[in-house]
Amino acid sequence: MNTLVLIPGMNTLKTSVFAGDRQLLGCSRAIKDYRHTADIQTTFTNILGALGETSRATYGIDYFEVCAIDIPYGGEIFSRPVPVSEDVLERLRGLIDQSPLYIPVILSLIDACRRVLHDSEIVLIFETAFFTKLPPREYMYALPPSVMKTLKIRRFGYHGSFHEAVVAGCRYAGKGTIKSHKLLSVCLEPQPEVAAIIGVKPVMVTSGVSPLEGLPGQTTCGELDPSIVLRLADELGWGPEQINLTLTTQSGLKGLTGKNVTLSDIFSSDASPEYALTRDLIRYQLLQAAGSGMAAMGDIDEICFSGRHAALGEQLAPWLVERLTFKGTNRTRPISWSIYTASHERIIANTAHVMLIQKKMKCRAC
Amino acid sequence: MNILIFNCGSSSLKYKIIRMPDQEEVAGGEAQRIGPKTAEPSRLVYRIAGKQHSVQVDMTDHYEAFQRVIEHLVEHDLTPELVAHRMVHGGTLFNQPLILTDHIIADLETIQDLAPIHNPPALALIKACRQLQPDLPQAVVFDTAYHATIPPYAYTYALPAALREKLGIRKFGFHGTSHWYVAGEAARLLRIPFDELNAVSCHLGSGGASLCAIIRGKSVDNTMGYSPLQGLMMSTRCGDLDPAVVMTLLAEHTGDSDAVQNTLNKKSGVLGMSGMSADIRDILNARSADGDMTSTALITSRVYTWRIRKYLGSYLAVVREPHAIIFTDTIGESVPEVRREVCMNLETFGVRLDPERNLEPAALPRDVAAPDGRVRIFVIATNEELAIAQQAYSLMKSAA
Repeated sequence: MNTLVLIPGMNTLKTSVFAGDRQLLGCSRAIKDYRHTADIQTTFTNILGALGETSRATYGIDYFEVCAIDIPYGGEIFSRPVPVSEDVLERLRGLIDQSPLYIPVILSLIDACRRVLHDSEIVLIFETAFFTKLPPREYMYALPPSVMKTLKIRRFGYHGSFHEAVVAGCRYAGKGTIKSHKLLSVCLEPQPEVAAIIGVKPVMVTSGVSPLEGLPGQTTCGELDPSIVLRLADELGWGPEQINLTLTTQSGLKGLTGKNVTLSDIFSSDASPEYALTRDLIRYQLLQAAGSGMAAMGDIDEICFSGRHAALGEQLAPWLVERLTFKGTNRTRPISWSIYTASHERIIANTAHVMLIQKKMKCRAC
Repeated sequence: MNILIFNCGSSSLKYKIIRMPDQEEVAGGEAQRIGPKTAEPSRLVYRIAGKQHSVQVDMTDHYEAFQRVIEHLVEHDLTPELVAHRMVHGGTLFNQPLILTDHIIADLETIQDLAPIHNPPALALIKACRQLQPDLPQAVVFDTAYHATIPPYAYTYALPAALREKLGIRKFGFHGTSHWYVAGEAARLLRIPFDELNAVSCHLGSGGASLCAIIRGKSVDNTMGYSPLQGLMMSTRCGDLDPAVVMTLLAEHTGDSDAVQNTLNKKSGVLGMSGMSADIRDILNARSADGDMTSTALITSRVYTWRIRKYLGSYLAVVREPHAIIFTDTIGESVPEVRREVCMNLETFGVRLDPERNLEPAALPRDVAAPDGRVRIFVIATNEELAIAQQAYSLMKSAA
């Protein structure tokens, strides 16, 4: 199955092509500032056209059976991957007010795909879908219900595809029965996220209404006293746009170090001593998230690291396991840990494949 | 020595006289409705020798309130030898209790905005004391001081350094006096030196609430942060909230940060979620016609206890080898259902609550952990005024 994967981020559009399991590296692109254009439809059309030509010329691929689009936000409406249809598009349009920066761009991208990729099944994969299953005690905030309802405020996670892939990996490896396996899934992407998952159900996640809450990211602030936001408005006269710019692009690792650094830079063996506070802070917040997750589940069987910086699990896991192993308990097996190395693109491609296979099987059954 | 402890609100003044070193409370009371006229007149409500009295008396400001309190204490032969003030926020300037001098009072002026509701009345009272009783020594004890030992990786927010420095943004932590006091009591119950105690202290009040992680007697983290708004779900405060939500609320209120502050501080939490009461005890008792908990009450109570439980897990991991969990203040001391929901199924941390002990209406302090649980679970009555008296007395002795 030839699969085109599209991952539209805030600033960068990533494209990948898979022939079956094999990623065709000649077609991998990271197109920066793709939104900064007068005519985004034409931009998308040109990108898709160029990809098609490269695939044909370099790999002899005439068409893609499936085009998988990764979508950061699907609200409560989308709880699983879906093939594009008019009904799906209508429901997506209904999410514009909740995600005004993303959804219109996604709709333009889907439109371009439908026009250019006539023969492809277009599949949408939502990062929030996995977290539509969060229990209310976890997803609700301590706000008046009228405020939560009007502004559609509830907690989601934003790396659902990673966490679900890790759960599937545990199932494949036969680790415990489905219902009882207690997994702490640590996704070390530029905006890290920790989820506590029992069986296939998430019970806790560090992200919030947006990916801004929780652990600090490369440029995002993470947890913050709500009154600090109000202080920025009062004291500095900042409006929501200015505050948002600072908290999403100038904070996190960048805010702490003053530099554009990644998690791997912070934890590398030859990292600058200047990064010591940042390293301690990240490790501390990971420990807190792990402790919360352990309390949420009543235990941890396994910690699994995924994401761009998953390899940091080699350093972090033994330390976390030691800190989470308490004396005087009836623990019979140590907490195990693992690293899930699949890239985001591969996870999206695999998710699309599984969805299509299930769809075909359903059709045959009918 | 009779120490007069003041706990000052914007329109009230609570006080106690504690005789040290005996630690005996000999009198206490409250000056109510200080300031502009309200529907009811200003009043001094006080208790002496176990009896409660109330007298109507004009008190247009804290100066007059202090005058009335001192006059009435002198009438009853309870002249204090030291006055100790509780101040909520000491910022980074004040990280220990102090005997007041003109210089310190001048510095206190500079931190009034850190707690705009609590600090200014406390400072007004200090000045009134200086004017009316210039020879009476005064001490000040800060709620934030115990948390001065929180390490940088725990108190730093991941914001640009220039912004943090310009606005003094960092985690401060609150309820320090209470956490310090009950930690001391826990060490006494365990028969270990205070500087060997590892614990998680849960100050769950009918108003504010916070957890404190304690390693070798020192605070290393607190769930409240830059302000008392962060952390747990409280009676009317939202606790932790995605910054994106605050920005959305600001936009919804066209930049009116006071309106947003009001929603998050006064209209959220238990009151906001339940729509019926700010007191979790009322929520736990809310029943529909069929005798079951109402659905609103159920979800409110679940969110409330779930947040405490997650923070307890995170702080147990931080503390690493805890001797004890401590429950204190109104809800922590008197609501066993909350303790049960927070502590159940935490055997992996070495925590085992004894359900029967937890329900016993026995005197405090007591241990509600299962005998074979590694971590003790203490229920200890907090006494912030006594804690203030202890610190002030210790200061006077050192000064002498």
